Amino acid sequence: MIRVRGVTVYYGSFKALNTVDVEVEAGEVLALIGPNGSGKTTLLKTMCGILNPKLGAVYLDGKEVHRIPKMELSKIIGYAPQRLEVNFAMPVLDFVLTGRRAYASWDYSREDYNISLKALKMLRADHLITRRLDQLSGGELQRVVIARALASEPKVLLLDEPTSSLDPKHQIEILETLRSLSRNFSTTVIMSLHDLTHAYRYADKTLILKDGQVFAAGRTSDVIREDILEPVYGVKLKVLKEFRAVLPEDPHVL
Amino acid sequence: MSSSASGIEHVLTHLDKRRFFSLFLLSILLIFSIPIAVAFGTVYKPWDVLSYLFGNSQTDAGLVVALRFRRVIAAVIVGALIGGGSMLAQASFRNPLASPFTLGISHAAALGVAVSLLLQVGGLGGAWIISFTRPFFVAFFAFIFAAFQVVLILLLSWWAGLDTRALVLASIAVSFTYQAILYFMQYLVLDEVQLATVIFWTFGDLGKVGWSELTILLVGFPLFAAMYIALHKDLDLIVFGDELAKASGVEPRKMRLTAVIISALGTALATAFVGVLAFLCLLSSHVTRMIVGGRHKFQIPGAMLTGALLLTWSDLLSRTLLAPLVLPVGILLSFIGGPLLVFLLFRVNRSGND
Repeated sequence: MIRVRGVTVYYGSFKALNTVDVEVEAGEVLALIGPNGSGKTTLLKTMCGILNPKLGAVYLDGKEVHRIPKMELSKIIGYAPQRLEVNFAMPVLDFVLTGRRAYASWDYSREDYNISLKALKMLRADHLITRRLDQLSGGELQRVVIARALASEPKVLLLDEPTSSLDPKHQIEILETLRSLSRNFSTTVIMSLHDLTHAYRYADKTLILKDGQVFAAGRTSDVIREDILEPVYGVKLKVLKEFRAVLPEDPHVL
Repeated sequence: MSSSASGIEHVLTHLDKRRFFSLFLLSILLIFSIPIAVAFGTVYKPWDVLSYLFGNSQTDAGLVVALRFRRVIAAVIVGALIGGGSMLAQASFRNPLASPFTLGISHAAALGVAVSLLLQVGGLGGAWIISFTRPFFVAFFAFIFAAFQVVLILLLSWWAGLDTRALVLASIAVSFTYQAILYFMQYLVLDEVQLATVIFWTFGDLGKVGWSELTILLVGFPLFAAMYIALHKDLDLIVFGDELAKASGVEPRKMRLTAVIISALGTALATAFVGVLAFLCLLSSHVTRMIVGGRHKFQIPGAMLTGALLLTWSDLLSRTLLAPLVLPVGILLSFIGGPLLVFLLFRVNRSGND
């Protein structure tokens, strides 16, 4: 489905990604983990064509992503940034509709409205439909941004820390929704995560980035291991298999 | 499915229908404002106009009504061009304080006016006469300078990556240069009459629009209006940042380039004939966000209607408030608009919604 081959990305002279290889099949959930500044967001942006790699390429079903017309690409890949610039407030529904830009000709149709509403319902945010973006809480806004990415009915969903400003209930809800999308509609889900427990529980595959390079990649159960995680994060982490959780070790408890 | 359909009906009722109603209301207001603005004036009062229209009146009343009508139609078109243009500029710059004038159009156009006055001095004997007999020539220069400014700014900011910051910085830098040249000319080169002409031009006044100017405006307006509205879906995207636009299939640099050129040329067209009406930009777009809101499909027509309404009424006031003195409408617009805008901002901030 998506193959990243030897991708190197620069910001000026700073090398943000260094010969990164990734492979994800249709319907898989891939978690990107790694410390701050390790290149997770850069990798997501390169995958959806926002950034161009200096070396290497991203392939979508064998075609190079940067050669696919952007309008066509936006029907296949949905991207939900971690934060949204809200300079001009518009109601939530209008914002989610903009996710269907590639389908609209002169204006958004009744179908566009219905699919946008369905996407909002899927994220349990349909009650916000007439609220203005600048009146939403951080978590509400995050759900709306993800709904917007879903509104284009993509085959691949790229999400940048989709759970970062959510309460535990909505975290679980969104992760369950994403997993059901991958299981029922073969949607490929690629998301960056900081909560290792979430990666452990919900990702089929996990990719660990460190300093712009792939540190480890593979099936989640093979990658989320104490001996791999410790050198990446520089702290002792406990993988609790029976709870399917990853926790930092408490230095005050011996 | 049935529940989602009823949900959509609910939303349409609450969002889109309200916006359509707002646009409808603004249109009705504008249609009723035109005869009112024609009826009131310095020389002939509304009853004179009425009696003329019903056939029993003096001979020159017809001329006055025709001239006033010309002025009011000019106000409507210029207001719409500037109002819509400012919506495009604000979305492109992602800044509610931006306007097509942010690009330095006004300074460039003022310099154009000064240059046109100077060029005529040689063979034609006095800029004062020329500027009254051939105002078209002045407008032409103002427009050419403004258009040149737009191209220059876009080239400069293209090299700097065409992001919003590059655009604003390039505009400010070049505007100051224009201003310096203009001040230099005002200080050393221009005579008193030319000086007065340039300064009067920067006030913004609808009296400068003659029949030929109105014809050009009438031809240009539908073109620009169509281009303004055609961009609505991409403007919706670009306000949320370049990355989101790109991920949704819109090339933000190309889009911003298009929107800025169209809005600047539309505004330059209006500015060339009536002078600088910068405050109209801020006022019309803020009022539009308050009463229409939503996507640019609604906001652009809204801003055009609001701009037209505001300019028509400001012009009416500028003609009647201190009658028989006729104020340049630009002065009145800023004088009333400033406090009005402050009031609106405070009201919105306190109530916290639209």
